Amino acid sequence: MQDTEIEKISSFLKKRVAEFHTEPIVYRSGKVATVGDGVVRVSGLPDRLYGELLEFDGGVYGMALDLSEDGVGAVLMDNADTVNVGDSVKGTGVVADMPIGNSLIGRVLDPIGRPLDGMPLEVKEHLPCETPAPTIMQRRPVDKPLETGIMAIDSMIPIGRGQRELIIGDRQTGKTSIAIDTVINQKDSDVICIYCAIGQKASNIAQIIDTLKNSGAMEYSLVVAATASDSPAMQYLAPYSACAVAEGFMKNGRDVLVIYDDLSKHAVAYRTMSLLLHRPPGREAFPGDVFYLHSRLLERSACMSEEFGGGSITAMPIIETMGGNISAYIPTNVISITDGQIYLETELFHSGVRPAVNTGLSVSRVGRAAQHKAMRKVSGSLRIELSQYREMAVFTRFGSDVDESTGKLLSRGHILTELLKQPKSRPYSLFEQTALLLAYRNNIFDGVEDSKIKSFSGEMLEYLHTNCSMLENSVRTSGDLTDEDEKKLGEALNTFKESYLNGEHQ
Amino acid sequence: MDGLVISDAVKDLIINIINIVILFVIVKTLAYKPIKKFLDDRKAKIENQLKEANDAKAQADAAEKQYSQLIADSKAKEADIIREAEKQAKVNADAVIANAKKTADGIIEKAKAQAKQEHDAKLAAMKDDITDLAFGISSRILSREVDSKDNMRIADEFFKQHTGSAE
Amino acid sequence: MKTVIITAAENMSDETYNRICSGFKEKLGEDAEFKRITDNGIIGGFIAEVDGEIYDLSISSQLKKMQKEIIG
Repeated sequence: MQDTEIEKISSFLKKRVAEFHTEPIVYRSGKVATVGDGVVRVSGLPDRLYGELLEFDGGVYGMALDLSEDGVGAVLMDNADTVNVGDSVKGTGVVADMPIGNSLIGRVLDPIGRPLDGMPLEVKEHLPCETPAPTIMQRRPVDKPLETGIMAIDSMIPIGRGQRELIIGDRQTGKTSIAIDTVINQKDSDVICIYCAIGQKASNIAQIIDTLKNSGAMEYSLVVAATASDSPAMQYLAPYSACAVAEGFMKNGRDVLVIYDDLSKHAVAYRTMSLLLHRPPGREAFPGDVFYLHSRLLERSACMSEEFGGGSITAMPIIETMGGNISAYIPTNVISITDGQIYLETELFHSGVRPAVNTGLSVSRVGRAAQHKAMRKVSGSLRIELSQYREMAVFTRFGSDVDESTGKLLSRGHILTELLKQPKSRPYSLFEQTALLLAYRNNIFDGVEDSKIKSFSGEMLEYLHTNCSMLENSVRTSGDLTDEDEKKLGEALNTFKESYLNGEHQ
Repeated sequence: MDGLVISDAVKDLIINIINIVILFVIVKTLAYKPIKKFLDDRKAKIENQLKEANDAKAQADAAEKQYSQLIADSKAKEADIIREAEKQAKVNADAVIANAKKTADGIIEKAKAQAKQEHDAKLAAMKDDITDLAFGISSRILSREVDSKDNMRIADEFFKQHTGSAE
Repeated sequence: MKTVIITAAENMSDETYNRICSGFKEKLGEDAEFKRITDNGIIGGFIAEVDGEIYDLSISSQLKKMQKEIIG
């Protein structure tokens, strides 16, 4: 076995040597004039492209971001300790690009396409990291749903394929968890997921990759990572690289989900780079084009029309706020770019509502067009009921007596809040969500104690899985709940409730 | 006045007849009508009771018919329920088996893919090592073998290709 | 006047060096100043730098290029 392997290698090498052509190597070379703070000034290298990759001695790369008649200012992508004044610099003639193709699935890459998981990468095609977004006529309206498996989101803030939905909240409110749960829920769909880590701790990224591996998500996902110890240029490039990989899949008609975690650190890295390049600082010391930084990235997420492949890129950028202030500079920028936001609140999180989604301030501008018919049927009045509940909820704190209709409102709101709580990594399928919301609408939960609601719904779902699998199949394949099915489901729910109550009394 | 001598007997007779007629009229008015009414009422009551009895019987018949229909229906439904339950159970069982098979296949596929990946990685590493070795050897040999004739040839070829300024 | 820096190994004869210098004078169309650097690491051939342009005809670079291309 070993011999044939070695034979294979040696014949391969011999062939390659024979095919080799000697050509004189001619290139322009510049000299390093100054090195400092991760920025290198190069003289004698005219005619560079903006954003071109320059190669320094020792295989270190830098990105040419400051072109002038006197020379080129490049931001180093790797560590600077091997670059010295007087070193020669080669222009690669190539603007930063990323490998694309199915061989990337399951891999972890850095923003210039080098694998980080120790195994070689074979690719045939590359796409530039920065490309113009699809034009108006190349797009079609968003019409297919992207299911997150999180009931609070799928019912009231539904996301469609090709939409940009921002996840915004303070630290430790579960933003990354929502994104990862969405990835895990794409298991049986044909959506490819790309997780782009920008400026995160390497230990965090390792844990996320672990979670994805354990739930089998790496079979349809890949990771583009720039850790907090990578240079600002790497962190700046990471989301554009992730988007380029996504575009590689989209032009073949696939649906892609890209998660940018997070764009706040991305803006900070860009600010670092710009200040080191002596660009004038603006508000909060960010450079003047920090809006364009994110708008050109997010505009590349689109839903393509049939004649351009019919694929889509859904973007879920994450922004971290301080003290719940969504009116700060970067959050307001990104909110105005995206098609809606999922707003997570610390108070909700600490009072046990997880996912801590504030359904009042969260919105999805694509809305019902991107919902399965079954879900549309059962989720019509949820937002209104919740907002009415919130208005009235203050009365419960004072223990005051309320009239019957308000009391009913409060108890139903209470039940709904309990229902929307969902544990991490436990996505609900469309059928399960439809069943739970139908049960809520048909008042099945009336009379069940708050603390028992979770176990009640758990048992109810199990009962439905065993006894209504044909119904489940029809909902899953058609996405719709016909009137007949709705009646059957209602009857099954009633039957379950009776048996549950009887069981309790015994 | 001869004619007017009516015997007492005839006089009594006439008075009797008149009495009887009066009695008859009295009896008819006082007794006949009420008695007839009484008899009519009784007849009507009896007819009514008969009719009610018939109705009740009809109802009982109908109820019995309904009852036996119900029993037949529920028997049919029972059979339906059992059939549904069997179908359901089979669907469940099939789903469980299909799932288990899918999982098993998945595990096998993953193991195969992982083995291939490791194998490819080892191969690539071996390729790298061998080429490094080969080129290291070539460098050493070449640095000994190159002479001024080779250098002249390289220079000549270069200038042949690049007369005039480049680009 | 332009400066041409020529890097060559020890095995380059003066004859060859002069031939290179005259070749460049002809190429540039004018007289030029020449500097010679000796570096055995290039194994053979020469590297000429003029005006920021580098003409790399060293054997070591060719070997490196071959190695990179073959590994793929």
